[in-house]
Amino acid sequence: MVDVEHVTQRFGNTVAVDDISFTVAEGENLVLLGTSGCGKTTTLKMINKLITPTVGCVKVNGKDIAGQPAIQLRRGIGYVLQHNSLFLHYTVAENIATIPGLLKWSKDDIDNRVTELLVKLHLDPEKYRNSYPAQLSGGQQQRVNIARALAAQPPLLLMDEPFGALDTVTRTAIRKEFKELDEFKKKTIIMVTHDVQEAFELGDRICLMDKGKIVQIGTVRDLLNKPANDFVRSFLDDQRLQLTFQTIKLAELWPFVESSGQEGAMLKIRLEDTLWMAMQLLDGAEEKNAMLALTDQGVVKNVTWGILMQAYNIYKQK
Amino acid sequence: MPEAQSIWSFAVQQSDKLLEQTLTHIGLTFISLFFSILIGLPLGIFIARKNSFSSFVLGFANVLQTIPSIALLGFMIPLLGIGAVPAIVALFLYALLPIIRNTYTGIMEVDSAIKEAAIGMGMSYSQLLFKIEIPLAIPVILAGIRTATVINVGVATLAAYIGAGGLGEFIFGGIALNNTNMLLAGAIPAALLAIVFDFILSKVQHLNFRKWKLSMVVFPAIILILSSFYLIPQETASKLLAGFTPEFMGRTDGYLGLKNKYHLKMRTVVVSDAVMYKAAYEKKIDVISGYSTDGRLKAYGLVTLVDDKGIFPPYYAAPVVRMDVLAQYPELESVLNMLAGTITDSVMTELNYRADYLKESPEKIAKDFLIANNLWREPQTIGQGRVRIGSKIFTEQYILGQMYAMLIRGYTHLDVVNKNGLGGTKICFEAIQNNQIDMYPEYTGTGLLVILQTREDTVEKLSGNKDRVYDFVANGFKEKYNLKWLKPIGFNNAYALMMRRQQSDILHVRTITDLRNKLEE
Ligand SMILES: Nc1ncnc2c1ncn2[C@@H]1O[C@H](COP(=O)(O)OP(=O)(O)OP(=O)(O)O)[C@@H](O)[C@H]1O
Ligand SMILES: [Mg+2]
Repeated sequence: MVDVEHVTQRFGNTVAVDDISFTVAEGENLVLLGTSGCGKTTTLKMINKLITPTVGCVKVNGKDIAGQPAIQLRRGIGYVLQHNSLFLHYTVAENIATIPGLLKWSKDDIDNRVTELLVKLHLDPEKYRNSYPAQLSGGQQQRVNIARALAAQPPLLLMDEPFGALDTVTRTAIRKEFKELDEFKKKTIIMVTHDVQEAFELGDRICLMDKGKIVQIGTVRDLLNKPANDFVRSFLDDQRLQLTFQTIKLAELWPFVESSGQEGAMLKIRLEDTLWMAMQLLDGAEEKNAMLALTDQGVVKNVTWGILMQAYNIYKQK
Repeated sequence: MPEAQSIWSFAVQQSDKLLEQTLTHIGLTFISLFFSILIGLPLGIFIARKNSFSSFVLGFANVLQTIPSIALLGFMIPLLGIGAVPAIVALFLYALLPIIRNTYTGIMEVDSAIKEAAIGMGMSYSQLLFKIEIPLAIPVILAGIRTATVINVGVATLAAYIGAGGLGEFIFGGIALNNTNMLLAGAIPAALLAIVFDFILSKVQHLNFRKWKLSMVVFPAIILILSSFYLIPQETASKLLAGFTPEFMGRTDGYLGLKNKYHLKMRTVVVSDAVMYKAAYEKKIDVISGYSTDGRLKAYGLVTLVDDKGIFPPYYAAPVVRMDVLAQYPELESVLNMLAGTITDSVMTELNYRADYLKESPEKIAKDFLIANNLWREPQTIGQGRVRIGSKIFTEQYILGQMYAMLIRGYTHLDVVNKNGLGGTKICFEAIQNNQIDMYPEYTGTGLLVILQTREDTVEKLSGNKDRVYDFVANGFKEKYNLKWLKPIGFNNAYALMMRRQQSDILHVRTITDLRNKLEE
């Protein structure tokens, strides 16, 4: 869907983006990850022609965008900015209706779409439709911001740190909702973040950048298990254990798990869930002797924290 | 509060005029504001788009604003004459800067993330401008319009100087006539207008976004309606146009007398003394109220009309001297009287002209005159005694002061000190009373009306007869102040109606009665 081919962007003497290439398949979520100033925003803006590459070409749907009129191209691409950029003089509904308005949708279609999006993004349409951005909380504004980008159902969505301005708790919550939304599931998304956790949760693949260059592109596991160099390794170091637990499914540990003989308060979990979720479940349990009940084709194993750790150690050695 | 009472009664008595002036004032303010917005808004938008022009345009508008308002009005006269047009142009120029500047900053200050979002969502540049930038800049733009309005209400008072009317007529009339009620009757409404418009615009400025959509229609409509106020008070036109100073308009021995005694019905505008003569010369006005010995009379080719019904009191000039000084130096009186009868109106006009237009020094003019009249003598050796000569702050008085100094030095052994430029009548008169000067040239009319404050019926009885006025004043000064009026110098620096010589010849108008008849034809 998007092909970036040997693209370089210079601003005077600074090389913001240095000969990068990547491809994003239809329906894929690619996350651009990297430290501040490494060229993530610049890369994103070259895809909707806000910036023209100094060298190289960008293709959307196989066609070089250099030859396409910018305005039409942009109306077909959802764009969420890094900074809060709602139109202060428009109501929530008017903000969301921006692109449908530019595309001359009928009033009914626009109204229906606005309502639909407000509902999906958990904003009460009756209450917030006619509010102005200044009357919303930061989290609510960000939902509207995302709704505005989704309004005209663009097949491609560019998001520049969409949750960047929010506190960690709100951020985690919105991120969860976001993952579940059908609106996102079929879309091709290129998303920028500098939050490793976010990248791992939302990205099918991660494109790790440093100083304008791509250091490594790959799945979460690729980056964890086959880091291209020390930069990748150290970038992930802080959260390595958590990330690892997040990549391992309980199904993978199943062969190494032995059932505990004891009885306790049983918590249900599925085999497709990750080791990380299992541990969070045990952590969060109120009962002292909480255990997980793992079930595979009728076989039930009662599992404690210690048993999980033991299984993980065996798994790691294999 | 008797003062407040009388302001009120003045306002009630003059309510027609007050209403007319107020409407004119509002009209002037808003016509010019309308054009400023019409030009300033697009210009501000333009320089926000093409930044390279911004410093040039803003710099130019800035310079316009630093020109003193009176000077700007003065520049307008040769180009546009007098009346509404030059006043509106000047006000327009003043209002331009705040509007351009605020439009420009308003647009420039729109959050760049918002602009980028708009572009990133596929808005064209004109959509960005009209849907995003201008609406978001509106509070700032309105602040500029608000500033411009308040400036215009203030500067519009000066429009009265060039015959455009407005509340300045009362204000400057009040100042000139030392009439506090008249002054306040103009100043208070002017201040109220500024406050009221400022308040209304501050409300508009803080309306929320939704209401702006409506105000975008209502606001220009209101400006246009207010602008149209200027058209309402237009008087019926006569063939000739008179331009009178605010002072002349308010005096019984001025315009009021013209109306009562001559039944003169003429289209008049109020103009300042500073521009009046030139405006007559440039045919912007036809009849003016000037002083009969003013050098500009000659400079601009004007003639005075004979006051055949004698409504202008005589203003014959003569030296006023302290009695004790005359007693102390008996030789002084005859020396000062040497000038008596030597300077006629036209001679004084000529002398003033040489000073004001040929820029000759008062000393040279005085000496030339004395030599030509065989009065000049080389200064004698200085012995005992000293005479202090005062003069008011205008050309004629400087010249006379020099002549007296030269005569005293030439014919006596007294030393002379000139104390020039003592300001107006009040200051000169107080100086002589307090023994700070010994003499100064005064005018009979001034002595009669300003110093002796003679009652109207008495003035009426003297009926403008020059000798009777002189005697009355001389007596009054002697009895009340122990000051002596010496013999009159000869010229009469009174109010006079003036016309261009050429027009006076063509129309055969020599007297004020001729003028009245001509107007009634
Ligand atoms: N318009 C510009 N003019 C000059 N330099 C720019 C411009 N935009 C970006 N840069 C520079 O290019 C580099 C990359 O900037 P970019 O905004 O792409 O970084 P980023 O990865 O998005 O950083 P962050 O996480 O802080 O948003 C930086 O060094 C920045 O200073
Ligand atoms: Mg960025």
